[in-house]
Amino acid sequence: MIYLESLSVFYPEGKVGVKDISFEIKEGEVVGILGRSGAGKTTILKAFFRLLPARTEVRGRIIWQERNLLEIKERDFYFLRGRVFGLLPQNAQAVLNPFLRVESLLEETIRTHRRLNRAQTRREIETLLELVGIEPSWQKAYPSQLSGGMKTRIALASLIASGARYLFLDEPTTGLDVVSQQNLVRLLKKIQKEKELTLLILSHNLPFLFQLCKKILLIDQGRVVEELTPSCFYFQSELGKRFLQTALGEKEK
Amino acid sequence: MTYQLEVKNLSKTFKKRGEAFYALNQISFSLEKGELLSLVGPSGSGKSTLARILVGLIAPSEGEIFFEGEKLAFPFSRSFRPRLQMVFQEPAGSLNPRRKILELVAEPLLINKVPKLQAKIKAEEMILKMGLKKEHLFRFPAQVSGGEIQRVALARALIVNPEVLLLDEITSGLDPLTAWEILDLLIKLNQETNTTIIFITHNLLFARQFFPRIIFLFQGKLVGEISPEKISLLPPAQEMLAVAELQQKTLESSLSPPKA
Repeated sequence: MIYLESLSVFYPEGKVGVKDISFEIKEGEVVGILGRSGAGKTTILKAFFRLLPARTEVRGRIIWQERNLLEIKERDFYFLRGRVFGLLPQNAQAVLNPFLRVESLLEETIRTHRRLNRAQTRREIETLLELVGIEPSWQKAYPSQLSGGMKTRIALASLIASGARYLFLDEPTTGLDVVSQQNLVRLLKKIQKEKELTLLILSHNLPFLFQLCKKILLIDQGRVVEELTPSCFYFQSELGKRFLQTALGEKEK
Repeated sequence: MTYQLEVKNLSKTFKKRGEAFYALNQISFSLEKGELLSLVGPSGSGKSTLARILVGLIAPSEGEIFFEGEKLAFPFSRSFRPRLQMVFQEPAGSLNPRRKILELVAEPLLINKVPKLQAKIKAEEMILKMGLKKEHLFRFPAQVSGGEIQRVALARALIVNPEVLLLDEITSGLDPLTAWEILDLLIKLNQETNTTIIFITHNLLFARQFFPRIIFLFQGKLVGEISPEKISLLPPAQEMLAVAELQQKTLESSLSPPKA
């Protein structure tokens, strides 16, 4: 379980990134964070992975296995980043090295994070591609030859290749058409079940989150507005209602 | 009767490993002045190719386009170009990062030989009309948010008073609330100035909220149409509709409070 306890982030220029955010992600759970652009979704991830600019003040605690992740040494965190906690950044389609073929991309991740011999690596690459539903014939392709949906799936495969058990996905649906989004829902559900992964998904795509998550947090201006729980998603806040309205198309009167 | 825009048997082929690949295959449709049309299709269906041909960025391989009864010849003449304007999916890429917003919006007028001062006054008016504030005028594109950039790109397209506005996936990178605000603004504009709007998207659920007429594209072919007068859908369009309905159902399930 990961527990974020009153996490606050203050940027050097005085801007508040997030304020007093607390929530927990249970083992094997899928949690979603919903919010407008600029609401502070990505800031939470950046604080978690230590990707914030220098001199940014981070307060609060992130508890994992009875340790505060914000306090452990960078050298120790280095071995958790990627190996235990995986991140699919916002522009996942652009993070693939354009000079490496699909197989080399995956091989690189496996070599960095796990100890497998050559034959095992080959087999692992094949299982990974099968898992994300990409034909083996694409192994020799370069990222530029893939469609947007395929690039996202390769990035996801690479994330799983690292052996991470906790995946943090930042806006995985950007750049995907609605049909590919629907395929991604199916894929994530399958992978999560098979590999018993814990997922945190950041998105402003309401139908996407609704289909995947057990719990959804709505955040705005760096604060949690409300928390929706599994039994039934029902928005009570003004912002939440507007999200639902715009997605459903009930024009404001 | 003459339509404002009439597309007849339009095709575009690209060479792909020596073989002809149909990006667009015999597309025909027509639009009346002031109509709101949405083009819906998955990635790779030819939506952007169609838009690029309509504004004259690329020439079609076959077929004809008529604008108010007159056949358009490629390349379009300079005096014709302002009448059809397009806004791209990633406007940040089409805006000079070293120019301030006011200059960027005034630029199309300067190209069309409007005196500098007059151009700036008009540009400011248009920027404010798009819902931006005075403080944005002297910022650089990198200093404003994604939604604001889209408003700048729209102001830049609208400042030459186009008769047809083509919007290529302008909302797909925005959060739904911002996207909604921008679309709402455009629909009001359509009512005010009777500008024809062609909105390209892959999000049918979103298109249905604003556009009475929707055309479906799939692998370069027209596969369906929804309009107040008729509904005709081939299987690929039916599939798109099914996805939209599934999403709608998921969302509707959370409209009512949980039973205690």
